Amino acid sequence: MDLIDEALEIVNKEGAYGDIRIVERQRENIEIKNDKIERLENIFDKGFGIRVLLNGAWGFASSSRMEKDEVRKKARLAIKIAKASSKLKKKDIKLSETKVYRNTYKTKIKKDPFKVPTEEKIDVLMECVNRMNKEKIALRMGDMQILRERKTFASTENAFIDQEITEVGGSITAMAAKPGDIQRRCYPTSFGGDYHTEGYEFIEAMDLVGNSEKIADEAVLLLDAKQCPSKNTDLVIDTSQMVLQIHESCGHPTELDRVFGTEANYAGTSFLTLEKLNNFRYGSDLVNITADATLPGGLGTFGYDDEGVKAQKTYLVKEGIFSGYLTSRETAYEINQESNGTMRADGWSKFPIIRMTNINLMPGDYSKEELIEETKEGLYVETNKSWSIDDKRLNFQFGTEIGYTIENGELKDLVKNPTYTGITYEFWRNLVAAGNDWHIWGVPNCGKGQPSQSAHVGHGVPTAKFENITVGVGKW
Amino acid sequence: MVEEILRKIVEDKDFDQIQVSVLHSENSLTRFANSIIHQNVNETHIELVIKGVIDKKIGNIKTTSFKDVDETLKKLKKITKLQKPNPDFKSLPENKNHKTINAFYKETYESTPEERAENVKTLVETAHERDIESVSGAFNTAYTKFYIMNSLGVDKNFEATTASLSTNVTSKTGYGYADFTSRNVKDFNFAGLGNEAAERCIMNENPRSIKPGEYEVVLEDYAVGTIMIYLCFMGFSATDYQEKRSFMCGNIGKKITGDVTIRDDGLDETNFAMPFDFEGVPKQDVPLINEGVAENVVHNSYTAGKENKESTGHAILGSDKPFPTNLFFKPGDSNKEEMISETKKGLLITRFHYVNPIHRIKTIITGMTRDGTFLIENGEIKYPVKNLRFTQSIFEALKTVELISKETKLEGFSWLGGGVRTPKLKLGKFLFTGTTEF
Repeated sequence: MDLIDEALEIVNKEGAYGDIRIVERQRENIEIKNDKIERLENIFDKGFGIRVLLNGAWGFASSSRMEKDEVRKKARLAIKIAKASSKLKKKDIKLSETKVYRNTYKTKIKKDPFKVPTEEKIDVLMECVNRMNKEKIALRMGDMQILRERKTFASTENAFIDQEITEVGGSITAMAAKPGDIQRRCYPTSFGGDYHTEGYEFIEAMDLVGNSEKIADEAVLLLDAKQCPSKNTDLVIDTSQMVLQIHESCGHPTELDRVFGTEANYAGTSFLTLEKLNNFRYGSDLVNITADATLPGGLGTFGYDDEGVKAQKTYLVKEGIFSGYLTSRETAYEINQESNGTMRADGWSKFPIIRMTNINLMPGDYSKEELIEETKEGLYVETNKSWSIDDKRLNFQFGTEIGYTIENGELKDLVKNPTYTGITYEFWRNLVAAGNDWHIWGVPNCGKGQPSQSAHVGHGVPTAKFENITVGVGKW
Repeated sequence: MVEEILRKIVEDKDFDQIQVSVLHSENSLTRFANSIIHQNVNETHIELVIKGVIDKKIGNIKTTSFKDVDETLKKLKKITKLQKPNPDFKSLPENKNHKTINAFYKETYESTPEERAENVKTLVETAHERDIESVSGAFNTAYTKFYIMNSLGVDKNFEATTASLSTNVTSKTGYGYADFTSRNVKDFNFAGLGNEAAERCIMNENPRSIKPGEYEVVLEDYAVGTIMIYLCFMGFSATDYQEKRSFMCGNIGKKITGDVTIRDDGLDETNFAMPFDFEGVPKQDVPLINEGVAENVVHNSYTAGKENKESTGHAILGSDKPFPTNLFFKPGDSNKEEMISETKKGLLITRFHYVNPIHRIKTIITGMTRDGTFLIENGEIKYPVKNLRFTQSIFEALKTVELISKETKLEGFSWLGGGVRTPKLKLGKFLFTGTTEF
């Protein structure tokens, strides 16, 4: 509290808006490779960041030195930086009004992951790698990551919010190799697996051990599978790949700071420009997409964002029509709205920017089996392997770990290195059916901003079917 | 003060071996868009990283708290004892002499927010001398001091500064880009960077659509730098090699590309040289691909120990995976004008965007062109074209290398504090698999 008062007093004396965040992160990382514990790591990270809006421009300074002198120094530096920023401005930055909260928020957990003995977690992962030990499997991996973030937000507007967020996640990976080829399968998904804001009960429900042999077998089979055919066809995308599809082609382009050009130099801008709001057909009538920071368990779930705005749910796409942006107080002011609470920073050290919360495609009525049964000819794909999209978020290409051709309503040939490509709005307009197997996935590594920031975001998505999609890209 | 804490840690007799490092960074960044400064930040980060070894069991701990080192060591002992012995671990590195490298420049260290704002203003105003709409970018100045000690006698520290700037200029239909990086902020020509990006933007206005397919390409140094970084991701680390997921597997001693030479040399001061790696092992010159022949991957003490080799000095802070951080693509004797004049039907590519591997062993990557793509016909630039998606094996592309420029450029490798020194290239074949609307 002393440190907070010190910072806000200095900012108040300048007659400026200011806020301070004190963030403490505790992590436990366990990584098993083959039969060894590759990494057993405990991380503690604490610091503060002070943001100042003065003379119509932003300044920000942060430090890991939790001392009064350092807080005073950084508060004065943030003021100095804001004054320097104002030398190159066209107009004053204004913030939209928001309700001021003095409150607390805590992730609901049943089983505290930090109280589960590390030995128990290691044993689970060791059992997984043991079960994946099969001929042609060159690499067997398992990992678990546990994070607890405690943060305090206070502002010159009298906001004071304490939050404690607990995250858990993990995955297993089997990689098969032969000369000139490697093939990989991950469970429950790739790039670190699945994450939730929950307790250790989430890890237990994953059943990592029970899925170990299956993914190892699939990786071996992929080595001798046919190459994915090149053609235009119907495409059934499993929920484990839909997560990246919605992330890249809906989540990022609806960030209003991108639309305003503030990411132009780095990640790019967006095709969803202001004149398209409420009158652009983004997808078919079946496409309903929300941003919902209140979704229980979602990795993008919290009580308040890093401007003190309460977590909320909003529509980005309604019945196929583009209907909303992810906003901050600064960007919402520019479109005469109030912020919908998506400003988040990567820890104490970074300036908050607009980040996805949980971006969700609403489910349909079909089971995955029905989606396949109703496909005469097509391709079914699972689990992301690569992703790329242009700097306005139009032309995308995704690769997945595994695919099957579909013939007369049945999965037929196993195929490797599946890829598919398209233009975002043409692709979503071709969505013809959504499944009922809705799952909230956690993505712990969403990159944006300079200096680079990594955000933890969630996506509730079902399996979905698309017509007339280009698959099997490139020369193999 | 820091050194006293570290010495106390390495004297802890409960560990068979112990290594401790501190990374103190001061990072300032001025970000601009729509020709105004919209984000301006300063960050001080001091992090203690300790690796402990007991009976070949290895534990790691990282903290920003220096207040209770005894408690941190107690936690580390507990973590380490939970481990299982790792038979592949041989030893932390012993002390070896290293070269002296000057990487600290007072001008960069003392750079102020006001100076950064003035420099950005110069760039923005220069760009606006042409008929453009908006300038965006980021200008970063950073100071780093790194301390490394271990119980085998390593006791070193190194301080460095870096500055980097990248900028995009847009008009109604044009996009342009320029970047520069150096240890010394005095090396920057801010007006020149604004001018380069604006000129490219104007050249790139009203782009036309062309059909995807196989084209000859002239790659600017920006684009070649990206290709080299992705080669690193896909196979120059001994960890990937030992895990059979490197394109170098089964290829050492074999010709895998055309006559290109790529090496990693942490001591060459035309890159972001540093005297030793994050374990304190002296940096060295490692040929990776020599005249097209695959030669080496890079090691830290752990991966080297697995093969009874010596570390090549490529340990990364807080990671078990070694990585090349100072890459050099050997220059040739050509230039951009000659490359264009030697192209019958091809594309001049400024840079690539959002690249990602599709198949590591085959070195197939995909990505988009960005900020200036031009059609070349019969040795002349004809007109700008809308961006294209490529899906291409790097090795297959490098098998068709025809010309390499004499001039090279340093591109930053920001997340590791390293760099890539790269020429421009003319390649005979490059596959484009899609298009976009701008």
